[in-house]
Amino acid sequence: MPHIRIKGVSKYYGSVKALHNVDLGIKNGEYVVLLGPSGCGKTTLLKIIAGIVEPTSGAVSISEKDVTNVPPEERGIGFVFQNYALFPHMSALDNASYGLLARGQKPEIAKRIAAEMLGLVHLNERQDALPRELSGGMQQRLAMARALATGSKLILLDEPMNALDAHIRAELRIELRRMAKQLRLTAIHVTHDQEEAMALADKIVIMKKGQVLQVGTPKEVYDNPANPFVAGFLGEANFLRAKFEKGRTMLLGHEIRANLSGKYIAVIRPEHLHLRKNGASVKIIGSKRLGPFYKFDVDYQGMVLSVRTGYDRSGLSHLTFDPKNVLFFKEPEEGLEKFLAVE
Amino acid sequence: MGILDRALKDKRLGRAFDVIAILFFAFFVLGPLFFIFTKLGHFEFTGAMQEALLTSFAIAFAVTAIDVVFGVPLAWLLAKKRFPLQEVVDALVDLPLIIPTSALGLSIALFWGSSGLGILGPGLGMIIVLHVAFTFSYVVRTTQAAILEIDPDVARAAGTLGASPFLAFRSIWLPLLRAGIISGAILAFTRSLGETGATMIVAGAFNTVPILTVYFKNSTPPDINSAISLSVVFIAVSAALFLFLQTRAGLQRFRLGKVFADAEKRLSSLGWLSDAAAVLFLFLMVLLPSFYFLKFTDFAFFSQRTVNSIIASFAIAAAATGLSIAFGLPLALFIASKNRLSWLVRLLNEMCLLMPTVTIGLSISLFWAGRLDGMLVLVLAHLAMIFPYFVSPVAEALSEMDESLPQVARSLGASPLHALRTVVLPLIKPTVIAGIVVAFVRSVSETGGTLAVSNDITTIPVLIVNLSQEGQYGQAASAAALLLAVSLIIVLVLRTSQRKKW
Repeated sequence: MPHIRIKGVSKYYGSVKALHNVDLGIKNGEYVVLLGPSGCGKTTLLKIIAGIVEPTSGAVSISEKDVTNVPPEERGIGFVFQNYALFPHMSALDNASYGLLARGQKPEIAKRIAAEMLGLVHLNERQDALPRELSGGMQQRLAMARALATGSKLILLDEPMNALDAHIRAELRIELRRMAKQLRLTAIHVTHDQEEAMALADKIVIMKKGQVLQVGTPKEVYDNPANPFVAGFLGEANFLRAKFEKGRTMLLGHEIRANLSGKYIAVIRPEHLHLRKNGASVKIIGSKRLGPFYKFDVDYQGMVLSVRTGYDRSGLSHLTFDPKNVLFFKEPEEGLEKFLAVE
Repeated sequence: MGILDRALKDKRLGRAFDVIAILFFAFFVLGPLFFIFTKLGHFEFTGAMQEALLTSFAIAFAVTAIDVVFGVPLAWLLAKKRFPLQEVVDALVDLPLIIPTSALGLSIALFWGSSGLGILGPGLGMIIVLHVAFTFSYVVRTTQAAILEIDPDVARAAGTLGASPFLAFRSIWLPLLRAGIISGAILAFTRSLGETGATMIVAGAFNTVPILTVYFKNSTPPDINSAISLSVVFIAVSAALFLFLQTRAGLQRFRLGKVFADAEKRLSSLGWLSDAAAVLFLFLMVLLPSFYFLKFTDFAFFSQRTVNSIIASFAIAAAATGLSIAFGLPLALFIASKNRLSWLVRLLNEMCLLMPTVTIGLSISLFWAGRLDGMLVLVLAHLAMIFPYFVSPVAEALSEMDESLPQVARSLGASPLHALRTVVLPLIKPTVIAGIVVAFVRSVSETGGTLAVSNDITTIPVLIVNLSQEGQYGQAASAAALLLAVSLIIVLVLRTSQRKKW
């Protein structure tokens, strides 16, 4: 049963640090999502686990076995590539049976198992189709079937839904998680889509500039982000500076009970700000209806904040919040803006 | 925006360009090339012709097979692996193409014959090693380009599914490279079929089709009827084969059967053997024999005759290449334009490549006989021989280019000509220059067609053949070395400009 340990893994391309001293443990049967902006090193980490990329230093072990120097074909993994990388010259069935044949399985048996796998992803009617004759969603499911047909219990997915439209993506997400749980897989899934991460993951690993910032369940990382970057990247957040007046800590005109000194950043999510008849005086400068909820841009003393409400509140001009929903972070050394920048 | 730019906004003018290009192609290339068939009095096919035909095709098959067996591993090594001095080895692959084929013939004869290793005498074996030397790089280059076009993730996917490198090569790379290898093989095959000058030096008593054609033409009185009859059969067979291979070049379904996982894994660890064999083959069978003639150069023999020949050669090559660029670019644009007729023009253009140069020379001299000055006819003959070599790759590059790029330029207010000048041409510049290099070098080193057109104008390859047949190896080698040096300079200048911005 695969559980994975990544110890002090770094990857340098010349002077560029793609990954810097990453430690990560993944338990058997977990669905783990590596989340971060492009260039954060998440795909590099995934490819190092697969053996496609060699780390500059550090070690990877799968099921207690050090595989750092083992080629991909001997790691017993399933890998779903970003553009699927289906074999264009083979039918769906031949694609799905490739891994079994490559490991020396008898052709009749390989074919039977592959056909079962195609059934599992609802492709049994299209066994003889070439990849180019399949729709994007079907190609994606074929890539899954091909990776899983070998019986591998560890599946690695590199932005597997990038090329699909939003509707199919949402459908496939449910499918993917159902399959992973049904087949008791350990899955590592790379994405930059936070919604996808929240919907799929048992555990989210948030990365930035080659480093792991936080590891936790979707609820943990959303409710208790480790730093302003995580708060801003996962969901939306308003960043405010608390003011210190005469020994009191003031935020949006409220006094906050907090034992703070020095420079602090307060983070409030848009759904935790409320437009009311009294509170801090603000001006609504923009409003949008986004399906079931409303979004307002409000101006508070020259600062623009984002507010999310369930009802139309455009007639109101005061802002309140519950102090227990405010998170405080020490101001980053390089300054907030630089810290939040994804590039 | 110039007057021409504005005028070209008019669609009729764009159409006029197409018409001029096609008319030029029809009257100066296609017409004269196929004119020869109207001169056929009565068809005859003798035993000697049949024998030459079989010999020519057997040689071309053997040569192409050798090219593929050693060329594909070399292309693989150059495209997928990193090793010291890689760029040098990569640059060396094209070098035999720069040597005029007649000099190459001389060099091969010297290397393998009694002046060198003494392993082969003039004859079948020597023809084959000669043809391998000047066709090898076609297979290497087209395969190399094809490898780079394949999404590397597809092969990586095979690895993650448990395929050993050997299995991934035979089940993924080879089937996907098939089209690229076939197109390289077609080039090598047709070049082998049509080559005359160098083959004459090493053939001994063997008759290939081009040699027999020269023989018919040079017999007294010239036996034009036999020469034409032979050409008709030869071109018909080549064309049929060409069309057959073209239909086989598409993506074919592949089914993986039983895999011997352990055996194939063990084979994978022997990859270094194929690398070593490919590099050794390049050096020992292609490069060393091709440049062996340099050992015999002796500039004491340097004569006015040589200098005159060089001047004639380069004047002809410059004129023919210039005409090819001027009329080839519009034709390539027409082929890439996806007009209803462009497939036909493309096919006709590629069929021209199948004509042996001797036949081209013969046909063109008959077409223009008595109407034009000898030198001019020779330029037109060279034009017809090199024109398709320029047009084919340029048309290919144009049709592969992202169509939206010129469209963006148009949407930003550029006229069609302006978009062509500022967007399209700069993007295909490397291919244009590569096309110029190939066309120029083909003209400079051409022998058979030149011999068929004129017995008075001695270009340098003709001089080399004459000197070799007189047994004057020192003089022949010196002339060849000089030609090589000048060609090399021109190619280097062109290659440098290839890397510069437009």
